[in-house]
Amino acid sequence: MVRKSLLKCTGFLLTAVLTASMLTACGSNTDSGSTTATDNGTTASNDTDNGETQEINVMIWDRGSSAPGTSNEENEMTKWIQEQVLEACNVKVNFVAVPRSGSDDKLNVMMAGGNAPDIVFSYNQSIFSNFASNGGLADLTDAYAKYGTDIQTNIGNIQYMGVVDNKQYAIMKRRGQQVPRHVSYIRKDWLDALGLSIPKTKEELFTVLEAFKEKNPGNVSDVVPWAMGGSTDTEKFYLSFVGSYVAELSEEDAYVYAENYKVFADGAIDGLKKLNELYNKGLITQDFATDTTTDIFKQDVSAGNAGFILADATEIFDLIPTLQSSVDGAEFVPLNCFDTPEGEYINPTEPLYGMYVMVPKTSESKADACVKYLNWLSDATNAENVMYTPEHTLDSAGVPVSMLQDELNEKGYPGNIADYNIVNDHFSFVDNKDSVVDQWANTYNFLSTDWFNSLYTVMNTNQYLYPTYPVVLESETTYGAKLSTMAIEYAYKLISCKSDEFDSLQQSEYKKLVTAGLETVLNDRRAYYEQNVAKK
Amino acid sequence: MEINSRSSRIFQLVSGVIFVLICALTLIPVLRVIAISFSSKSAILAGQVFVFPVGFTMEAYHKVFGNINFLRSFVYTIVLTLGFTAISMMMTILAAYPLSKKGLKGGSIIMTLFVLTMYFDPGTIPTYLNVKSFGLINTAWSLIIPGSLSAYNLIIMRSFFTSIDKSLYESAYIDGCSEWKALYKIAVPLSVPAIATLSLFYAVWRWNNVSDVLYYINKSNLYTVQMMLKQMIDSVKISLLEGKTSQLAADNIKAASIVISMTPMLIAYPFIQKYFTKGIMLGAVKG
Repeated sequence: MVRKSLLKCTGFLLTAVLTASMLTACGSNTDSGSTTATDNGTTASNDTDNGETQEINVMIWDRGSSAPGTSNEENEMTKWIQEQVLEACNVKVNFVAVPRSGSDDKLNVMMAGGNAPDIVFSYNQSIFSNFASNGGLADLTDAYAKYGTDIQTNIGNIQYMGVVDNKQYAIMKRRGQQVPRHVSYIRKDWLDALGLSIPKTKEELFTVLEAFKEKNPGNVSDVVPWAMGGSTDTEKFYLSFVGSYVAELSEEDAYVYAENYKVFADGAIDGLKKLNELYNKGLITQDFATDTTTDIFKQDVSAGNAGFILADATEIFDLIPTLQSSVDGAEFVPLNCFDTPEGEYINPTEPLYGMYVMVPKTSESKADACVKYLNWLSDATNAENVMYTPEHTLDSAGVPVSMLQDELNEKGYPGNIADYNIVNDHFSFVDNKDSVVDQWANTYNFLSTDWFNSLYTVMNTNQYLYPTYPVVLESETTYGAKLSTMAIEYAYKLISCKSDEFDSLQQSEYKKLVTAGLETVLNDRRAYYEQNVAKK
Repeated sequence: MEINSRSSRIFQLVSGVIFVLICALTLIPVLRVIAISFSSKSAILAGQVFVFPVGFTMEAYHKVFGNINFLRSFVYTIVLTLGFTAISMMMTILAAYPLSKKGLKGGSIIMTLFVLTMYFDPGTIPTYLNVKSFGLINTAWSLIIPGSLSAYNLIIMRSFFTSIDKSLYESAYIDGCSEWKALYKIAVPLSVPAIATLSLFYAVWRWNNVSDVLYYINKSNLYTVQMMLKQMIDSVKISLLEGKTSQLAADNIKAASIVISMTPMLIAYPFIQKYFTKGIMLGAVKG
């Protein structure tokens, strides 16, 4: 009997265990007041200007680079910011660490859970647009007008990107130096050995590539005239080249085919076809599309097998020291050689704005305090002290000297101090050639000042900004992510197929893209432009 | 069976060779990571390292062990994993034992409810809201309680208990044993293989899982070692997105961190391995 009732009892216990273990369903009980364990929402104070100190929680990225014994929430940098901001704005700033990798996912979850920090940020326009249009964000219009004067003066020109329905829902972060997304480099020592000069046009480039292949000037076992990799999250290996086959676009077309869609603009096929021809002549890394981690690409460059590359603007800085140690006299130099049908070069850059800095709806009462803090950060002097630490020094050209992680950690700063600077990276020196070159040459001392001078010139030739508007179309949300990957695979397949299969493969692959929503997206973009931009 | 016949010996030789090759194949990636952790940076970048270190150096290990944050997280993760495993096993045993009894009222309904959790996943946000309203966010408990009972492991444990001969229990009851006593004097000692196996399942899950750490923890001193590793390894991809050049953790330091973080599981495994096959197999056959 005892046993039976015990079993019964256990039945109830089990149900309890089960409920705890499921932790499912019934999760909507958000207002149960059980936020005791969180850092947020505990210090609400609604008034703004009565002299009472307001406390805000600011998201900070954690990249696992804190100094020993410190964290991203508490270190020399946060102490300094807290002191300064308390004095300047009467706002107490606390930091909430969010792991950099997975940060957008976490942001979504925290926003849904109603316990996001008072200031959050993301690079992702879809996330911003989604929060803004679903009422997840505090309207900063008034606070921005009242307390955002420095933001307006310093970086007011990009704030239009944070406006949805005529309300300022985000403060846009200004990027620093404007650099092209992708830059090409060529082996100068190989050119010298062959008595050739740096190519200025695509035709000259083709001649050089053939010469690299035939004469193998570096005398390497496996010469790769043009090294490519196969990562499916970037168009860096081909887009600038293919884009140079497209005639100058009107503002409308530039918006429709912005960035990764440019591979579908008129003329782009010729570029792909040319790459296919080069590939089949053995001038491009064979089977590059299988090198999805780009390890082989990096090895080819750093071991001295590669003659020409097109890659992320300054990616090569990481590879050059190894190349220099493995091959005597090896020298990669930057160049512009993708002439457009108009006979110009075109160097698309990142947009001037970077992150979307937002205040969640749940922190609406602290909007003023948040904007005060962001406004303080937009000041160039404050930004410089945050970006380079308050104890930074200036070099002879007046450029702040950046410290390496070891040095930062020694002084109690985290390696990612730049992440605290969430509003304005646009320091005056980034627009000055000498200062930029100087800073490069100091940081990467294995290359000469002359080398960086020519890099600066190459990078600043005909910079091009795609038109951007503060909108994410519905079709882009639905199809965008998949289309970007498919577009890259489309290009890779066409480059590496047999030449006689090019046309049929192009048609069949394009059909797949249409099924995946390509034309819907392009048409929607055109329609948006016609209705919202052209008419105004 | 004629083990010594010629064809049998050839068969053994050939299959032996094949299995050694397969083992070697699975070992290569591990050896490669170990080799990279001991190699110089330039050798790694130039792609010279395969399964033997090139330009042998201990620099990476000095760096990793020199980082007190990593070590602290390492110890914390071990403690967390041990605690999680103990609590999970307790939950599992206490749930599985009564469910293995025929007389339990509503037993089949409870079992169905458990099984339902294997089919229906509530999704990230509802789970988060639930964890939040229990007040667990930003505590180590958020990494222990939500995952502390796996229906899959519960079923294995229950089958194991069911497979114990009833007469053993009956003899215990005749001697005046209560259910509690029968559980810890008879069922548990007879189930060591299953307990060892499931403990390993739980421990490995806790050790490797990062998504709950990402969602529930906002303090970097509560990050597990796998979370720190993920930050280090993903740093390359991210700096591309941000469009800036950043100082990347060197490959050898990443590799050294990976080697160090897999060591505890590698050490624990041989001690549990002898129970391992037995544990899974025993629960599988009934009747």
